[in-house]
Amino acid sequence: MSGRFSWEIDRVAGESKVEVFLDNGMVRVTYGSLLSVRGFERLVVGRYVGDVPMIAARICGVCSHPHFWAAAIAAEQAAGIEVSDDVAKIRDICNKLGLLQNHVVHLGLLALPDYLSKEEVERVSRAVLAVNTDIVSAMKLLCGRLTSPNSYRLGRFFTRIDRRTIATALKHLKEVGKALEELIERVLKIDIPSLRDPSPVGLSLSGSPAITVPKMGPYLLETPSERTEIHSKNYKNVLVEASTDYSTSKKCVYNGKPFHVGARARLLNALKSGGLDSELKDVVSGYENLLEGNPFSNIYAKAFETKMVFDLLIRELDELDRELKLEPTYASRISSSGIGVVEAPRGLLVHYYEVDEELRVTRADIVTPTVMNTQHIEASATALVGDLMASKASESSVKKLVEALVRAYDPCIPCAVHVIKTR
Amino acid sequence: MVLKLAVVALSGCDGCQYNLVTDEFFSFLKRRGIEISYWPLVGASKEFEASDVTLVEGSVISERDVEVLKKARERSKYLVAMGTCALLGGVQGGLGLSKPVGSYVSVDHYVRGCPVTISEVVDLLDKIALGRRWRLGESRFEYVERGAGVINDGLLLLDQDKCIVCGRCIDVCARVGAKVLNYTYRGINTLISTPYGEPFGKSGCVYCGLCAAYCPVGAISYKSNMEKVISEVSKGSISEILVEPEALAALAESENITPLQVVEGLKILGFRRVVVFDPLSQVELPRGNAILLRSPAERELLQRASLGSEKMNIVDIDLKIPPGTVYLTQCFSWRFKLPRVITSREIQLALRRLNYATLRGDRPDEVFLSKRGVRRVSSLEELRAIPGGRVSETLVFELCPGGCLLGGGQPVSDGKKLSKILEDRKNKLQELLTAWT
Repeated sequence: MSGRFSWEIDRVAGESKVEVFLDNGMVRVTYGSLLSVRGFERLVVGRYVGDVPMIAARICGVCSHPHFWAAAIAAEQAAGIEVSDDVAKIRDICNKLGLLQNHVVHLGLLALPDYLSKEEVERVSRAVLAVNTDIVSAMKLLCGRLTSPNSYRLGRFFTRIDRRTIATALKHLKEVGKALEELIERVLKIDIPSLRDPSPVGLSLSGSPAITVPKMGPYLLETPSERTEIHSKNYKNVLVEASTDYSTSKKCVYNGKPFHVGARARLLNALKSGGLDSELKDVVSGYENLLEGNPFSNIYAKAFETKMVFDLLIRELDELDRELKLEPTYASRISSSGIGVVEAPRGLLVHYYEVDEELRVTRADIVTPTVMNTQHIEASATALVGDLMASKASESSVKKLVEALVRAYDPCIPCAVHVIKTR
Repeated sequence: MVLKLAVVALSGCDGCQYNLVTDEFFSFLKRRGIEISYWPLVGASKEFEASDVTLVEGSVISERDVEVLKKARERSKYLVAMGTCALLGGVQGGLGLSKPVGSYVSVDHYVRGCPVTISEVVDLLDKIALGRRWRLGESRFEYVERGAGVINDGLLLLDQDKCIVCGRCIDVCARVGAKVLNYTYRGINTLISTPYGEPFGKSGCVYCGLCAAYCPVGAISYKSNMEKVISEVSKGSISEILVEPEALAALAESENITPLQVVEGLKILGFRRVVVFDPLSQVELPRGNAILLRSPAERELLQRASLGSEKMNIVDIDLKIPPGTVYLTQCFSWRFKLPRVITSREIQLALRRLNYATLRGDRPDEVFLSKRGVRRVSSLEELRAIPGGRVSETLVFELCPGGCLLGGGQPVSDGKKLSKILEDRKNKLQELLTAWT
């Protein structure tokens, strides 16, 4: 059988397209973005590095928090600013709140409709929207707002964050515990389609998801089998990007192979390195084979991570019921570059900036999780369509399953097309 | 009646629509009986057929964006530009990559913000659903008392409810040296105002009109004479138009046509005689060195600037317009002195009703240009730098930054930087001066 067919995918952030090529038993699937490139890496050149986080947050309205924090860490390195432990803790909490909010919306509104009946989708959506309200209220107290946080300048929060703020955020969060558990339970009851991961390499920041925004570098990345330190000089060799002629965003490989980032990678790596508490470890272990071998299982990973991050947030906010030290310290020397690596809801995110003596940006480079996942999405989708073609599945069922697979990765197209087109 | 809502994304971050995915917004839609007809982010992605209200997020970068936008316009009763990208071109607009939605289609309403706040979107949809009139650019703060803040002296009007407190008018007012506008009050009550809210004329305003030209939201405006002029032209009581060369160059640049096509356009609008007219051509040049003032705004400014002007040989233009004649100028301040003045910004809209492709160009009936070359000075600082106030040559003082080509009545040029507009207008002016000198 030969031919090709393509279609656009909804319920993902941004516009994207899947194209399936069939050539006498050979299958190839491409996944490309349809949004235009938006030039953020050029936009920040010439700007004071302290302005960059506010601009970088506008790369994506869905996950603006990790962009903001990655840019802030990189800018602080370049400007010679060291934040206090309390500031580092609160911005990690802010990022985790963003992660929790993203996971809840993704699971409840974007991913679950692939598996549930219309009536059940409506019921789950209502519950998810109510949960979302409380999480966003907590976010607003600490980060200013849901999209493009505005409560932080280099080195410090400028909105008042004290015991009372923390206590109110905690109160909002505690409101959603029960509803979250029900959502997680519903997700774990889903029967995901079977698929063998063609490239089971998951990459995550070491220590995540317990810590998603490190205080500073160097950063340790890990897969189930190895660890690599990345810094300003080598990150381009570790994460190799390439352009394609069918998409406005790039693709990325690790050690020459497709790899995945995000909840599944974080959870599996934490499980292998002993980063999960005993209760969660027991539950996750029961899903280990699925998580390792099936890309659809990212929705399980998101559910587990939602539980883990929620518990961590409750504990960490509780621990902050004390006087906070929020003053930064300033180093006498500044650096000519800075790199920020954080864990976004969809996976690793790297921001790198070079600056001149006046701290004006001379070069910027951003590698986003969707760019890292794209090659893996294509490899998995190719394997899936190959299996379906072998079982003579109809075109409509191929489309339905490929859409569910793509949504399991939760791609974010606005993030992916932040760059200037390179050719 | 069930209202159909569509949400369309162009190039952007999706932040505005993502902010709407809340309990508050969906509960409101349900309460008001608003149905989602198209919104791919939440899974409503069947063919976009028709909607009562379409919220458009993002700015226009690609051909695809243009296509999606035009389709949305065709199929929507109300089209709303949602957020900074749709309204102004957005963050990526800083690279000149993108254009606002209004550059391609007509926009019925807009909601500001990066990202927008849900309450503003809800407020707008609520009014549309209830069939109430919603003014373009209503109050920026829901909780600030409305209706109190209008400064109007019959010529210039500042509507403080519309103002977004961006400060561009303050900046340009200070740059020309008038310093009439500034911030007043604090916090959420911050306003832009004249001193004590006095009318412009009593506050030292020189009526250059730049504040109105620079205001991005139309909070500062002047009453248009166009309707009256066009009515008199149709009655035959006005038959001639005197056109400043700078106004001709600015119109030609903004509409991307030649100055001769502008002349033909004016004739089609009903002016039987079109005369290119430089006010300096009416000035009797003094024998010695002097400072020529280009318009009444310069005279007002110079009187207040303590430049030692008593030592300067200053020559005013005492312009008189004969009955049946209209004066077309870049400079708003002429409206302060003369009865029938229209600015190039006002006539721009009338010209746009014409089909430019059919204009072949027509020569003006008469041309009056300045008699001799003089050096142009366009800031008080340059005048202040003259030692003892004694000029060694004849100068023309134009207070607007960029001179009369960027005067207070300047027509809007879409999507261009100010430096590029100035360069293009200079080229157009040079072109017509060379042809007619």
